[in-house]
Amino acid sequence: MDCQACIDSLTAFLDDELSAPEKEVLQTHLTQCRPCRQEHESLLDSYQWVDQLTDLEMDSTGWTRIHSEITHLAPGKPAWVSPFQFLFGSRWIPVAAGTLGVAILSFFFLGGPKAEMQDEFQVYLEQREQMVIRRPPPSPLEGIREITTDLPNPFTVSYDSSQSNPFTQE
Amino acid sequence: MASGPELKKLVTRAGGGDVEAFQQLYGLYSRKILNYIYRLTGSREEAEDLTQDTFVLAYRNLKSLKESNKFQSWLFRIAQNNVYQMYRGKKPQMNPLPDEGSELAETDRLGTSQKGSEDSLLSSELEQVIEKIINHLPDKQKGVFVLSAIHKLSYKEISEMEDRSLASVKSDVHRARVDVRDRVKEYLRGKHGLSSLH
Repeated sequence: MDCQACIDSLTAFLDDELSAPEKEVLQTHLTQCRPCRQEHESLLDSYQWVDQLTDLEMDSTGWTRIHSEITHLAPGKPAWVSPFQFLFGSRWIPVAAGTLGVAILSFFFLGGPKAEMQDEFQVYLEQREQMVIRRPPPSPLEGIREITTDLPNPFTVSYDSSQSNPFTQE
Repeated sequence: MASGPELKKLVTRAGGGDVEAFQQLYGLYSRKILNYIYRLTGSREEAEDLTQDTFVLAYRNLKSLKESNKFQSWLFRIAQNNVYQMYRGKKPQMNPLPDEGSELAETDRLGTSQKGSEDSLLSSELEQVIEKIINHLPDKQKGVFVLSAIHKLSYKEISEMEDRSLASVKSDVHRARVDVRDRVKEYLRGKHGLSSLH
């Protein structure tokens, strides 16, 4: 084993993550190599420091909040699902709902009402053939194309050319 | 700590909606989860809130846990997801690392020196420094370091939990260990250097 491989495996060695043969090879190298032994001791110090870290203690009210939250909920599913879950099992709820929907639609469009609808349509066609198209009576004003009168046209504009143009500049 | 079969029974009962069984699981794991989240966030208040969220979420999804012997790593994963979700897009608020001679380091020292002996001063101060150093590790290393060094999870458990290769976990734990050691040594060297001046 070379020094780099030994140093790379030191943490795994201290964490007891090496196999028995790997451990043996590394231990043999450590007995023969002073720099690697120093590295091992130095790492061991850091293990002791980290092990000295004190844990936080859990707040005594922690469980109370969790308890109140979980007792209002069935695990994982909303409350309304329960009766369906009882009947079909959670995984079959969408399948059951889909099948029910298809059955209802089939009943209305493909089942009983079909023959009645065909009869009604046939009656409608027969009535349509017998229908008489009635036109409205002719208007009394029909045929009068122009209106004649003796009165002068009030909208005629006369132009007197004897008057001078007030806008002409001299 | 409950043994394998006992734990399996507790998990099965809790999954079936038994609140009392779940309370026992809470008693067994709440402290671990609290401290795991605390090491990731560096805030006690957030750690307490997220621990409660973690257990509520665990109870609601316990039925989805296929292997009850993996309850612990499953719980850690929920906690980790909660932390990541909370800090999505932003880094956790972390206290600055105390440089030797900095105001923070001085305040820490004065605060602890009033408490008692030189030994307890060193130990309490060192603990704060180590906590801050862990908090400043890169996220990828911090998670595996906390799980391995503090919670003593095996590399295999961590790799399953984090969905990473065993080699990658081994390498990150090693880097984090070396980083923590180097930074603590650096801090201690600085401290002793200053102390010798007084």
